Amino acid sequence: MLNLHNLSCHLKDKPLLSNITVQASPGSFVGLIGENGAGKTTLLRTFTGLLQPSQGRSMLNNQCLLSLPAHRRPSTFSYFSMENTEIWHLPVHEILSLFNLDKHNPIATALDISILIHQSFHTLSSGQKQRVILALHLAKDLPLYVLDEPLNSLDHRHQHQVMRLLKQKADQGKIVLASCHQLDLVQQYCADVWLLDKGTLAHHGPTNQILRPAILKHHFGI
Amino acid sequence: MKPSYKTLSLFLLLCLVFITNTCLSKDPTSLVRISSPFQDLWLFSNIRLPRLLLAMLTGAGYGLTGLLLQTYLRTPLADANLIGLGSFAALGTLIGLAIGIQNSALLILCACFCTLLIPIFYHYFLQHRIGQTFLVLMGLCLTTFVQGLVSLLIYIIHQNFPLSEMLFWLFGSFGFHTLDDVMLILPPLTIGFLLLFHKRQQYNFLCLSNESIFASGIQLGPLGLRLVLGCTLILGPIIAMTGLIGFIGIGVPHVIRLLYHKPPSHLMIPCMIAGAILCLVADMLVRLLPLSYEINVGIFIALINAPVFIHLLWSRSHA
Repeated sequence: MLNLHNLSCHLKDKPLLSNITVQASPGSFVGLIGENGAGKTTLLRTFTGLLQPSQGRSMLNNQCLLSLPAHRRPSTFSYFSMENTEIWHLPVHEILSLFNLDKHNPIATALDISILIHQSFHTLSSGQKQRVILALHLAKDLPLYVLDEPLNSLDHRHQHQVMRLLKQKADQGKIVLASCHQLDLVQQYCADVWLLDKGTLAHHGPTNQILRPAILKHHFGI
Repeated sequence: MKPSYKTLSLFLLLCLVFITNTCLSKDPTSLVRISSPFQDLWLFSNIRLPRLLLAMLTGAGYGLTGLLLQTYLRTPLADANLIGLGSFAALGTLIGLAIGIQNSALLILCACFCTLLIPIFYHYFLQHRIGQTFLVLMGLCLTTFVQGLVSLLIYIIHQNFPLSEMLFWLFGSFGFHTLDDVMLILPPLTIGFLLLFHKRQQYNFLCLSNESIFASGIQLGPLGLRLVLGCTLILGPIIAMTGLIGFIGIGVPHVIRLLYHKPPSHLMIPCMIAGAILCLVADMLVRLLPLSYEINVGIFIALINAPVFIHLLWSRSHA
């Protein structure tokens, strides 16, 4: 069980997150939605301990994530983000072997990595790069997967493929928390939704109860 | 990790350059002649050997620190001078001259003490979990500030002290040191190399985003501090002895990356070897050029290697 309790984060006096209290149970696939600047990335960074919260706590299966020793993080959660990703002029197969990922791994196959393995990473398109990095993250077997905008550069087919893989992870009893802007895909694949607005958790609950026309109109103007 | 055939070839090339360097010398008529180092053992062990060892240590130090700083700071322009090693060492040497120190060993000590301020500054920066771009800008600001202090000191003391020694130091040279001097700097260098090689697999994770690095259990702050401390312990004493030698730290890692296409932990030894080869070749050429005077190796490396590097990058990008 992932349990965020009264989590707040401030930058000097400016509140970035205010009193976020919410839970996710094992096997849930949560879509984290909200407009640009709503605080999605800040929430992901804060509850994993990358940013220092001004108050509150986050617990995963009764262990505090904020005080988790560094050496236990790799076996507890993975955090996908494409920001500042820099892979030097390496062929994709070198990157896979660097992270002990076999090219025949089902995740690598599902993301069509095998056709890229002889190419140099820096020559790939941004979507192809994203698939390689996603494969590195999803190939691990962990209780919690945190993904910051995993669909952004992907084509339509691979967006569905990634969402299917994330749903599979959730079906295996893992907790998957992914921020994204593709509301149609969130509706199709995510069981739960957390909706952030100006740093506060405006709504949370089952997807069909949150992605209702009235709420969408109020928060997204659509 | 088994050495690849490329690394073995580089090592053999290093041995070849070392042997060639020991055997070639210039006679008074400026002609190159081949001689055995054992003909004049005193000359070899007191003049040539310290120079060769210093050249190799300098190249290895610059090559390795350049690679790791570029990796950590995520910029292809990083080398030891970006974190201020050259300017801090220059400040230390000038302060030594200004307070009237004549002994070269004491001047070296002054420069080393001054470079040790760098890890203290970076310890403060890294404690605040600032990003790599900010670190690069901090390094640039620190370097510019210290360079300003150096210029100010030169301006203040130039009327009272002869600055020829300082200018010679600024140009960079491997000569004029004994085997004892080289032995003196080995302990900090050894600690520095051990620090940089400790947990070297962590450098490979620096290709991911900061969030993924964090989730991988790597603490960027302690890693950065270990890196800066290692760089200072290696290059502080070296720069204090040899003066400013640019380019190796930037150029060598780029060439090795193009040659290997491997992650940073696999490139550490090749960068050290390639740096050592570059310095040995440059030192040999400045020694053997048919001139009545010897050009400082720092000037030579900058003049010859930078255009070669530009050509290499140009031809690669247009291939």
